[in-house]
Amino acid sequence: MPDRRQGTGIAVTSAAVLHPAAATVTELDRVLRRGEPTLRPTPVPGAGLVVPAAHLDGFDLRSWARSHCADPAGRDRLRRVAGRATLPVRTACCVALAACTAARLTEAEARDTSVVIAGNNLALGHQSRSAAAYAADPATVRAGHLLDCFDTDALGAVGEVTGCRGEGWPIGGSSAAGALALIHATRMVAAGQAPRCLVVAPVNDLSPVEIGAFVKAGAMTPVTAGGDAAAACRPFDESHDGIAVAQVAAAVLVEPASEAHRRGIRPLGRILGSGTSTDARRGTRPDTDGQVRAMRKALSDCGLAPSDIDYVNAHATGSAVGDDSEAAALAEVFGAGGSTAFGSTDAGSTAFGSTAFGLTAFGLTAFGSTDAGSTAVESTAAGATGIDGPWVNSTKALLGHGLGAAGLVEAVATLLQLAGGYCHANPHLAKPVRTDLRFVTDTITRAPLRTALSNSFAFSGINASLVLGRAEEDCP
Amino acid sequence: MTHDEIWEVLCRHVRDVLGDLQDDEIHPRQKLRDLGANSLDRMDILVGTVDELRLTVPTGALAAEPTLGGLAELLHAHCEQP
Repeated sequence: MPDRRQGTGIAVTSAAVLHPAAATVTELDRVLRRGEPTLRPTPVPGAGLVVPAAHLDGFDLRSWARSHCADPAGRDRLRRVAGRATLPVRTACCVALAACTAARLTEAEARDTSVVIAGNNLALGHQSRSAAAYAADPATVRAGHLLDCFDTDALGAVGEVTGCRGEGWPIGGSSAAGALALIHATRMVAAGQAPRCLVVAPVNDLSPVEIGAFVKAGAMTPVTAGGDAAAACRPFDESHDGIAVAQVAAAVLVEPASEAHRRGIRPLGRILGSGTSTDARRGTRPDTDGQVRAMRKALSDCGLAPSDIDYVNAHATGSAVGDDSEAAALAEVFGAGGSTAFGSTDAGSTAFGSTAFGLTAFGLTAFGSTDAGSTAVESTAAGATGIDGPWVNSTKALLGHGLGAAGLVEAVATLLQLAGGYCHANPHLAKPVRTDLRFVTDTITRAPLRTALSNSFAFSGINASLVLGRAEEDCP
Repeated sequence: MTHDEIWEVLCRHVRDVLGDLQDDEIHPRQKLRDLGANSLDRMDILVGTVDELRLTVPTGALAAEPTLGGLAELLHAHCEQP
């Protein structure tokens, strides 16, 4: 009997990341397997404040190009187009070029490739410095500011560096932007509106003003003298007291798997389904019901039951309110009785990938126990064993919160874990906020994973969930 | 103001706006576009140089995309002699 989790879906052909602790996808895989946070004490200019963060201090495009771009003409183009651009645009161009190179796109293929840029208010750090310089001396204003101040600069620059000149979509969405961009790209490809799509999440660069506001809101706790910045982000732990931001960029190329195979590439994995919802509410407070609706939509989009999900890459930022809301939502979707609600929502959603499974999946809900092969577990800490349901971890504990880029970076992290058969540690999860979820402990968990769900939630009530799968050729 | 003084100010503004340039990239036959300057960069270079030299030059001066040497000549021509 065929396993419906092996349905086609849309392939992620290649990926690229840029994080202070990982300049390549291979390095990201190593960081995840190591399971140690990469956060550092980071001074906030002018504020007399130190916060936990992962910052790309002194990122130099020229040296990035020397070590990651073999083609001299490509290096020159990168420098000419993006050398003087803002940090978001410089990082976007680097990861975009790396993802296109890894996907082995020909010039002709690049020409009809569409581009989706994830994130809004990307260059707040630059904006704040420009405004301060202007306040001190209006004569400092430059005509070139007109390029730097709009997020669309990333779209133009990525196009010029990669040669991609299909459709172009800047997609905002605050902390859910990365997931929304990936969903939009997948829909375009699944609908045949684009042969392939390059999704790029630039660094979402905050200014000291936004950092100060996070601190005032109680969503970020400054590092005190002698404090441990690396242990500052503790998603799902009772002691969680705030987020740590990360300057991180990512890019993926999305296309039908057959296209990747035609170019002789083994895809990183597949996008099987997605679901989004809004809370119809202004503000920053998360809403468990909206999160449940997004996850159930994503499952029904690809005809899977909650019990088909082996692993959940949670949004979990380490903020108390957010973690508690998501934990409650996960318990509702995946906990005892959660699966009975399967299929109750969105029978009519416009599902990409649903054709691979169709309604026959509803008759197969008893098939496929997630626990059948999950025996090789290194993690033994209390609370993690004897609980059914998918493994749950939060990549933000290791990398920090990439804001607009988080959803895309975490989708890549999820695909790496699916391919590698592991769930990375939750390094500072000692006392989980709930006892009915199967949290990974402070040790890596090895398990044969096939299907995962990745959550991204944002201010203003935006919820997005992705169902991701291993590459078909990796499936047993 | 001598041609050399104008050349020096112009080159300083080219470096200031474009940054990250090798010494041998700045020479009289070079065109700003070939140094990677977009239209806004070219405007910033011209306006910065003209402001510092206290000259009045029509912004259309860049329309013909002169070389750096040609631009210095043009600025020199607009220079009020003492």
